[in-house]
Amino acid sequence: MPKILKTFCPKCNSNITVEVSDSVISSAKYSPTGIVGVVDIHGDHALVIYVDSNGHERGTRVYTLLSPAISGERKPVIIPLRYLDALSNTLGFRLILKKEDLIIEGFKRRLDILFKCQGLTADIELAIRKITGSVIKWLRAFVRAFDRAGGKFRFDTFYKCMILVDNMIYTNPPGHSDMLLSLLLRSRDIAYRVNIKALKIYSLMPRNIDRYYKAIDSGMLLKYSGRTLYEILADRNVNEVWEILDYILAMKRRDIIEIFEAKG
Amino acid sequence: MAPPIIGKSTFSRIISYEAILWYLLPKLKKICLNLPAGRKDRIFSLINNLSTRKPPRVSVNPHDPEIRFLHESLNLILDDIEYVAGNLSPSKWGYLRNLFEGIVQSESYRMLIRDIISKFKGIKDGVILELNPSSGRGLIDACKILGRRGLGVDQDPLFTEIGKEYAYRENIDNVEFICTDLSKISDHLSAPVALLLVISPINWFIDQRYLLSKIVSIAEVNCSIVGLLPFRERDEEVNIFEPYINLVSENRLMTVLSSENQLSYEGFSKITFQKIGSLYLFTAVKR
Repeated sequence: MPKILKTFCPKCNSNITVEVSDSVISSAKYSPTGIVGVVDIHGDHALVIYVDSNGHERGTRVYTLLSPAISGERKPVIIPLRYLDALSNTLGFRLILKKEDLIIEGFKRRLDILFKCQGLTADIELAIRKITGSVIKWLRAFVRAFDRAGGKFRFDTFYKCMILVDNMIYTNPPGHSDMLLSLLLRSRDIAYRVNIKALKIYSLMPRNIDRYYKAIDSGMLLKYSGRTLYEILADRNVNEVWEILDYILAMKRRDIIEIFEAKG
Repeated sequence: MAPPIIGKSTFSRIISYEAILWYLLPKLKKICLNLPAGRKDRIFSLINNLSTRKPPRVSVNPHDPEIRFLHESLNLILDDIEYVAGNLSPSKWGYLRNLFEGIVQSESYRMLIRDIISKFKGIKDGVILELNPSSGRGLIDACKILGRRGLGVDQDPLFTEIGKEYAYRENIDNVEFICTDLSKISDHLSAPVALLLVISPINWFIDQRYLLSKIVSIAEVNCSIVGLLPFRERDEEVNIFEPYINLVSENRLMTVLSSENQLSYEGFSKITFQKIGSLYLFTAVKR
């Protein structure tokens, strides 16, 4: 079962939460040194966290990311093929971050045709198995989500977003899908707090919307109050992630929760 | 006397809810001492007027989940009276949204609205417009029953989001919710309004003269209107809703007669008022 590991980045003086998957723990187990490194890239640097076979931290190290050598000939960050296995409908994607002058891309095979959607902070290009009207709507929602997030996100939260969009791309996105994706993009850096009085009134409603959700209820909402969204989303499948974020937005609309920036 | 619009069996449960407002009146009187002088005095005088009257005799089942919801949530809200009286308005309802949503979602309220709407199956072509629909439940039900397009206009952006949420959840694509000032509704109308609804509890908190002026300006010829609002029966007789309404606004309720006269003066015909406890269901058609 994946473990949540909390550590500290000495470069930016912030607390970092990472999810250590079973495969990482297993790699540590069979490694000659008994430890394995995982990387969390944030801002202009990468934090390497050494993890032992019990999923515990055994030290960290900070590395600076190199800037592209020649402007205009950006070298993309390539997502390894094995990570693309989680995408069942997407054949390839390219994320162009304008402010950071950074390209992140992943392709299952060489492709010539990509659908592109431009936003203020990011452009997204996508190659998909089958084209439907919903694909374009999702792309629009995705770039709007980047704009809402103000370009602030982590690699792993972007990866989770990609999996979510890939999973739902053939259904029409709801009007609030950009808000939902931006919550996911920022899930490591934002938390929520519960207004107890509002929650009490909501809980008294004979027909409240809890009945629409299986993955979360008001009890769980209360349990994770004050913690980052990333923690409540850890170890969840894509449908559960969608449900939880949808529920969190529904609670925000009702002033039951207030979302705030989690301090390092 | 005009025939009743709906049967008594539909609204008998709604009337029993008013008993809670009477029951909580002493608590309201006690805690409104914490409010600023002007607001406190106004609520005090309204409560004093009501104290000369006997509460209506209705049987209340304390185990009824809807009764429990209303009683306990109003109790919680009264405990937070300074926040409610100091921060909330028709364009910013805070956590009071949960109270309104709970009322509009309740089975008895939905039954009442469905029964009212089903009387309008013969209306002319056009859209159904609801002013301040809160969670939009009534409008969604109305569009389902009448098979028409619907537009809900609210001043609270989060209520607009909640309306959209319900429409998406129910896979309804002929209902739209927008957040705008009531005076800018015409900018968003692409077809004539066939039925204008003012049935959500939020409208109880909005100045009735302003609300009626908006109804008059939106309704075109043959447009039917349906409203559910608390009015005063006589000028000197305070409505039980008024002390609670005055927690968030300074509105003095109109009398049934003055609202009827205004509608008639503005060219409405077939005006009907039906008393449902302290609320009045009214309908009219623009000539």
